[in-house]
Amino acid sequence: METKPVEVLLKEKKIYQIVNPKLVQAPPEMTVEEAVNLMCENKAGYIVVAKNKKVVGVFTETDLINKVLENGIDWKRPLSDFMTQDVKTLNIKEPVGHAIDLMGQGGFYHIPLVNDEGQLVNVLSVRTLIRFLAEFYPTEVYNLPPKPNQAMATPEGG
Amino acid sequence: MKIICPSCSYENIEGEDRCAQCFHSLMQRDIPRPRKDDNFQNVMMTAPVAELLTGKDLLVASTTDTIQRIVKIFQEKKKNCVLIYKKKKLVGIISNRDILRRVVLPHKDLSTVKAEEVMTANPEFVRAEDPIAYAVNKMAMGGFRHLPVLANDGTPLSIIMIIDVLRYIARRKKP
Repeated sequence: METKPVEVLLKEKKIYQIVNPKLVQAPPEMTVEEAVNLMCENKAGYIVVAKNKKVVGVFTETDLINKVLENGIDWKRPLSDFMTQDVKTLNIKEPVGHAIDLMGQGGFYHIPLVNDEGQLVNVLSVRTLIRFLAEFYPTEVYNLPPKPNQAMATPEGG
Repeated sequence: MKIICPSCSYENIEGEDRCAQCFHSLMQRDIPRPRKDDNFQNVMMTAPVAELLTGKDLLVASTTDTIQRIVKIFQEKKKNCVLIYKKKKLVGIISNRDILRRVVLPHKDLSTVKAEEVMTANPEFVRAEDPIAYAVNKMAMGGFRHLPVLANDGTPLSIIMIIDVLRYIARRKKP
């Protein structure tokens, strides 16, 4: 358990201290078909689309399902036709609190992270952020059933 | 008199120090309490999931509905998650991720694949009165971005999204 209040930690802790080293990226010319394979190989729901280390967009499973499926679209078309453009990025040295604000306001699942030169270096996913937040409760919460006095019919709860 | 384990619900003999089945401690007197000086912990451990409910995010499909229809509805309503019910009982959940992995990647025909072939069966869920911390923990441990919220009789109240939780935290963390 951390000893400081969470509000303080959210200001002090920097994004680079909590992210995983994994980043799925592709050039804007990649086809939708290749993108689906790339996402599944990496067990990811997103691709950061970048050109010369600059972020130009994000292509997610939501873009795929909302824009491509059932619309008679040729899967050889490039990602750049379907990606979300003008994505917000954060500097990897910014506090974690900023990422929570940005994700909450924008409803993004992924925020591309850049260095001081504006080059793409990583990505922060909503799952990483939630795992980070979950560390702040007393660990006993993990082991409690929804109602502490409720007994399950079987040990598995089924 | 039996002591019910808070972790696995096994009925232990009174006086045991730990659960005979799962070794969870039986010596805690109370549920854990948040630190008094920590506003964030206080909010998360005391505010109920009910605070996140909008009543607007609830889609329900039956096991025999096709993925084609589900995708159409996702597109129309800008949603990305649907609960699967069979005879008034929650049996599964389908999110964008399930469709990507189990339909799009293997190039299946959307018009013939049924919800029950694609759904993640027996999903985790929460109740409206559970603390938000409990939902956050389930999402973090399971890697879920959506959690059904059910009433005590098993009927659905809502689906909470991970983004709703972050939005709530973003609003409440300001001192």
